[in-house]
Amino acid sequence: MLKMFGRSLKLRQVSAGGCNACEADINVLGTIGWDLGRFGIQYVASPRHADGLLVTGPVSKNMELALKKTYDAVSEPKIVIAVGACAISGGPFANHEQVRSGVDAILPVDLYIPGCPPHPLTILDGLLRLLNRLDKQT
Amino acid sequence: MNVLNSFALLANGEALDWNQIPEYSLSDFIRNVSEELELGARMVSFFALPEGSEKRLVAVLALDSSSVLCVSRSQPFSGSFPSLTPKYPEAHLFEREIYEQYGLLPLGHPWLKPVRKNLNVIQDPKNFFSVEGAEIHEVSVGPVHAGVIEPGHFRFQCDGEEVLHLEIALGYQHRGIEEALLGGPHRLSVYQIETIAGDTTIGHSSAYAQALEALAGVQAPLYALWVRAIALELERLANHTGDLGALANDVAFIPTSSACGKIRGDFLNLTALLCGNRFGRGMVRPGFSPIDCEPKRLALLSDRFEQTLRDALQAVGWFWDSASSRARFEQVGSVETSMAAKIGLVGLAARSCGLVRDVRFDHPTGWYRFAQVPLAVWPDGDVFSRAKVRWLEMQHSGEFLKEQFNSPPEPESAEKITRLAPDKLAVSLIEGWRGEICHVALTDSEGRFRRYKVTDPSFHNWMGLALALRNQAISDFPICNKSFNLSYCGFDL
Ligand code: SF4
Repeated sequence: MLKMFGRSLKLRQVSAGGCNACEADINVLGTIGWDLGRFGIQYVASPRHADGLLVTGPVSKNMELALKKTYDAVSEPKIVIAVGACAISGGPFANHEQVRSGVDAILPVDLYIPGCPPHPLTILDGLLRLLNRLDKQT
Repeated sequence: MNVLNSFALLANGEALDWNQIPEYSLSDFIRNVSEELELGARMVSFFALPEGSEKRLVAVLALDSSSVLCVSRSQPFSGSFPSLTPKYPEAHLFEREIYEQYGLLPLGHPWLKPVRKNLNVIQDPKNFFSVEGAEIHEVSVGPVHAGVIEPGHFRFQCDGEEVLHLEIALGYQHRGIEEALLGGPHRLSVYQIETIAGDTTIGHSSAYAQALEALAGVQAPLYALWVRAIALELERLANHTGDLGALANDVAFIPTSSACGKIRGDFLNLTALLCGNRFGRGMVRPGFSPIDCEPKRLALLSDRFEQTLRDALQAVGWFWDSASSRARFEQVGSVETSMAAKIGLVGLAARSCGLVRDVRFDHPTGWYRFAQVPLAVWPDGDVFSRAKVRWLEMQHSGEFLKEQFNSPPEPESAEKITRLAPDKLAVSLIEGWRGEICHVALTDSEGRFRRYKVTDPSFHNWMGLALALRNQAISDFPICNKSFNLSYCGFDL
């Protein structure tokens, strides 16, 4: 399946209860300094156009439904990438009753990218590794 | 009677004994607060806390022109209280919050809804203001938006292209920060403070440090104050640069948008040069400075800073040179000065409406007592004005930082804070890049947090965005929104 996404991966980002720094460094990859598009990776507006989700935040209960609906709207096959300590395990908000303490509490996760927030390089590294494109580039 | 007698006075970054704060019956308390607001005080914080089986209200007001804060509290009561909102709209969200957090009913509140917890009620279509009529249609957006951006729900009542009313419903990012702080400071507390709003890490962690220092009766070393001021202005520069780029992007002026996207990162990298993290995590701690910037690193920082600032001013300069782009910002999304004052706008949104309001100027603490940043104010209240104030602030913060890099105080060793005084209340204001950040901390008899009230500038300012949209074309929503660039997570806590 990942082979299929190797040359073109479209991701829908969903922010679910974090502090917005993860989103900020996800956005950075789209700027001219990084130009994520050259790797065939792009953030898209509609989940219908997406091959998967890039989720940040611990999944606040108030975002649970919206996240599930967005996931359901992505057609199969699809992947889920959890970006940041929050999305992995709840981060600084782990075990608060208002959150689900990580994306894998409600969705199957294919890739975890650690950091609080992860450096843009770390996110890029994760995405390229997932697509098995790191060796070819270096 | 002088109304001020009914309040305890304190300066920003100070603490008072809880029982020094005058206590009034509910009706006298409300009357005193309204009289003070009538005389021109500004509502900085207004919250409830439990007292046995009952609740108590606490109000913190600011007299900006005399650099004084005043606090008063009601006697414990239960049930309801007379709403201040009909006369003083700046109280509207505070009262909704009190209602949501503690079930106290503000009688006469014109638009009583929960704020962030009870999402089912907040987002129920029945609970939105709606305009009726054959020509009217409603546009509903979110919580998941089209970009990489935080979640929120917006409902526009439109007559054709024209927005008659916008209502903003938030709460999707609610993760229980205030609750988690109770009984603290815990080991996690400082990390939660740093992530109230990730783009305002320095602002919130400085407010926290200042509050704890007041509660512990500790003076942070000058060196720590210097580091905080540098970090705060770097945070401002990074965000203002990013915002001006985003605004340029929304009117398709690509040169500024492309360059600013990168330069914003260059500013963040300067923060990382100081503390190892682009957002300033770990940079500010109560009582001391974890950062010791040795002369070599300072010289590097200062060199890189000058280059980055030059790049930033040049890139934004291209935008101002393009008359057709500039014109897109003029007379769009206007908020009148009187309206801005009424709803209690803070920070750059307030200064863009001609209000002279800046914590660094009105209630200076820390390094800002020794080194001043000139105030930036622009009168028009529109998107142009908010862009202009950012531009002026970039220049002011730039000059300020260049000077400060030349005059670092000697690093001193200092103790970490281990104990807070019992039964004290501290008020701590910091002018973050969006505006006034307010932390009010109250300790119990053991010196643990009995209440920790956080007010992000966005809490005051979301209403500003809603009003800015009135009678605007809905297609102008993106630039109006970017011109405020408010925080969802800072609001949702
Ligand atoms: S992982 Fe850290 S940076 Fe990312 S959203 Fe959570 S708190 Fe913010």
